[in-house]
Amino acid sequence: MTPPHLGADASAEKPLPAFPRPGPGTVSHPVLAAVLAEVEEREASGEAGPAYYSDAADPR
Amino acid sequence: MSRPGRYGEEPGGGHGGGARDGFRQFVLKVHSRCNLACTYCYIYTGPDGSWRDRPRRVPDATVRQVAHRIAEHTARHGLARIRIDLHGGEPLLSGAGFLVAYADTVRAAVRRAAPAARVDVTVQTNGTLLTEAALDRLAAARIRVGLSLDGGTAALNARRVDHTGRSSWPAVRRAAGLLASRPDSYAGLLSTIDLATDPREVYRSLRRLGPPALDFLLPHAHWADRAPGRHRPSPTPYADWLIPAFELWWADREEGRPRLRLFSEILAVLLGADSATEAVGLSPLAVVVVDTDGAIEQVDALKSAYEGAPATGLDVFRHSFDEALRHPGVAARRQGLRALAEVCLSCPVVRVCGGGNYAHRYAARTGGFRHPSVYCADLERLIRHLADRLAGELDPARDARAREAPARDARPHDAPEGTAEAFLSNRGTDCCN
Repeated sequence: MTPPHLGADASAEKPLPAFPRPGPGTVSHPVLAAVLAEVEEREASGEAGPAYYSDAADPR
Repeated sequence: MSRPGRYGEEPGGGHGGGARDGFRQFVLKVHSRCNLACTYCYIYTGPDGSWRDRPRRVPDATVRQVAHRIAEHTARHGLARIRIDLHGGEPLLSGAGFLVAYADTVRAAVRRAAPAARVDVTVQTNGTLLTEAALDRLAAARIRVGLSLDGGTAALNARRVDHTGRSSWPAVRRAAGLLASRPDSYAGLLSTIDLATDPREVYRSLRRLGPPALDFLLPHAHWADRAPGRHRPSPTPYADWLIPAFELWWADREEGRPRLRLFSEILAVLLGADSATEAVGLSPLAVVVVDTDGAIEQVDALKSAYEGAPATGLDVFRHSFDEALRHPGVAARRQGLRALAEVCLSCPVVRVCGGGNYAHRYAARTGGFRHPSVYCADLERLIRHLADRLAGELDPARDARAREAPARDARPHDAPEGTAEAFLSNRGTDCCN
């Protein structure tokens, strides 16, 4: 059976859950902890906000 | 109501306030030619042939004027930190000494105009011309090196050949080895996804090259003559490729795990942060490009759309970067939700996806960019997968409940046939009517 096309009506689609940001040092998963640390550093340094070019490596 | 422009911007343009107004990244074309002929290159085989009319190497007078304009912009906007990306073509065709001179000229100009501003410089190279001597010069000048390659083996780089069809891999492997021995100079790797490869093999082989960071790039593509839209169900070959790579990275607890930009930024946005990449999220784009003739342009990816797509009609000799900020194409990249298609606005993942890379939204039928990404279904599937992993990590009890009661609390790929969730995750055979 071919499923009916949903078209532009996204009301039946599953919303993404909201993720409260974990506090510093509360996450044990190393990848997630690294992402959080980077986000915190970016926001604390005032560097958060802009989007950069995807065809260039970040300077680190 | 006025019709939006071709870029999806509202009439009158507009962009965010404060220091975020300015460009923060200046992609400077050092050389307009390349010594490789990668089979998927959108610059030399795409619809835009402007490279043919550009100087091969940026002239010294243009370098000085570019430096002046960057310094002027940095001071005017009070920027604390800017990025300079030396790009091409292949920038090392100009020689490492020239790259150092360009960086020094920019740094000196910024130092005079905005002494407190930090200038980070990287060069993005295919690596074939990166010798130890060249790396020594770049390192001494504090220029970090980003390497473009599609995997860590010869077979995975089969598409990256020179103009005689010879593999670039032997030279690139040496470059990767040099960089791994000089971690302070190693910015990371950029790898364009090839669906013919095994993502696990690609990740593992790149990992072995010891990069501090890497990114997987969706090939630059757009709707071409197909009707753009949020088509569901749609095949998701790129999500199918990326998810196993993500799972390896997510499970990688070994020392030296690289930062993987696409995945890191999706997770960051899911956690309420702003994206720092144009690939996802709604952050205003902070990038401007200057070609070897001084032309101020939008990002190269637009060259995959049509001839002249990145052009602004501006140049560093006659115009400031502030004038480029007001160009409708530039403004459209800084308007967040307002630049998106109507159908995107009601999508549950819009704030994470952000419409994806701007160039991927182009449709020849309308001549504009106010459409979902041609990778729309892939992006949604990838985002939902990462959200699921994140939820499992932040709420393990939820994950346990899902495993214990799959029929009652099904993940999308287990959803019963005929439900909306099944349609969203189904790899339908029809895509894009």
